Amino acid sequence: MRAFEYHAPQEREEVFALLSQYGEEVRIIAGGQSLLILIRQGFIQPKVLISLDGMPSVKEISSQDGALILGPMVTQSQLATEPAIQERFPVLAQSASRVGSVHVQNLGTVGGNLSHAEPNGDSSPALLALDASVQASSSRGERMIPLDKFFRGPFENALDPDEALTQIRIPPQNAHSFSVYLKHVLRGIDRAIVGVGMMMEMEGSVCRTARIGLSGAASTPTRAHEAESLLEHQPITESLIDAVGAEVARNCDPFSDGHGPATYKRKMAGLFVQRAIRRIMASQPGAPG
Amino acid sequence: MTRTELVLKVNGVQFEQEVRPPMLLLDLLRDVLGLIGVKRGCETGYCGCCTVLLDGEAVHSCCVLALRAAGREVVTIEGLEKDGELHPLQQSFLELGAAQCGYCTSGMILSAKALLAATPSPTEDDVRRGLAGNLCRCTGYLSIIEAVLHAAREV
Repeated sequence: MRAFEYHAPQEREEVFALLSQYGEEVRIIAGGQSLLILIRQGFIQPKVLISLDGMPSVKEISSQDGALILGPMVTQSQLATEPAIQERFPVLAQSASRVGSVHVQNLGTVGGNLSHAEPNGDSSPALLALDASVQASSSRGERMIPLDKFFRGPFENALDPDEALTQIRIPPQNAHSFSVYLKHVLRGIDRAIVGVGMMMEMEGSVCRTARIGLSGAASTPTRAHEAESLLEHQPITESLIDAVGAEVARNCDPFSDGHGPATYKRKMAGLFVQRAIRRIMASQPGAPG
Repeated sequence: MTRTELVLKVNGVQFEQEVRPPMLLLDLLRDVLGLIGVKRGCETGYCGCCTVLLDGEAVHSCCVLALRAAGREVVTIEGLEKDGELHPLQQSFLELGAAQCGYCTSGMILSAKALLAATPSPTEDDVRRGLAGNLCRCTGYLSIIEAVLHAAREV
């Protein structure tokens, strides 16, 4: 790799000062599981790296008025294995357990994963399904960015050059919410061809609210709003599930690539949303089987 | 100021080293410290032959900056043997023929060690998941999985 400086500040102000000072020449390194590969393959050549590793509280998982607050350096392993996350936010624990292998999960962070803004990441559809927001901080102040406004394009996020992602906030979820993450992938540790994060708030067999997060189905991770509208306030039937899958396939806009043409990926997005709905229904109390 | 001073423990021994920031942990271990049991493979965080333990967790050393390991403990395959006695995992791999060319073996054993520390009585599924980040071109994996399950029963 080309030479770069390496800073490991202990205080937020130092991070912001370095970001302001170096502008486009600096990158923040969190777990490094995406960033180091980008640098080594020559896609980016930062002159300065700022590691958040020495900062206090960046790895904390906490609650605030029922909202879940994640520090930017919370690792995928933490999310995958924390019992409270597995129980209250299963889509998040499941997606974290599918990011590469355990090696990647031990160092890889949810903040770094979101900042990397892969079109086909695992954390993004899960957090979209949970209606998450991220906090962007700089020496100018702080702002919250809803996650569905955070992804600007492939590998492009909404942070200004002097901003750092300092928090991920997941709002309180409705009681009787169920969630699941499904990943279409050929080999278990590969990147998703299509990733589906699904949240359904159920009242008996009626879906009150639904949120569908998709990755690999467009140039950025997206919500499937049209399909959500079909689902909401409806009793879940097989014909509704069929219709929802078709709506997802109709509205998504995936790339063609080595995994297959866009038509294949549309079909997979629809299929995996259908499977996610069935998986949630099967886990309902009183469900057959 | 840019960091360049690195103090870390490797296989129980403290090292102090000046490093250029771009140096990877993999390069530090192999080229500076001579621990060539750590292998170079894909160098993109996928194949796992560069696996080491960082504070007990399995990581791909090709995707870790050396400076990130500051103040931490690294264990490589060389660190498993104690006073001439092989670790039960190493012994199991030998007895069950779980190494052919041997290139993935360091990484497999270290990933398995981390798995057994967290899950002392793993199912076959647990083992497959724990080793998913370690690829093998020779064995077809079955002997490796057997060796890990065997070592789990021994430990």
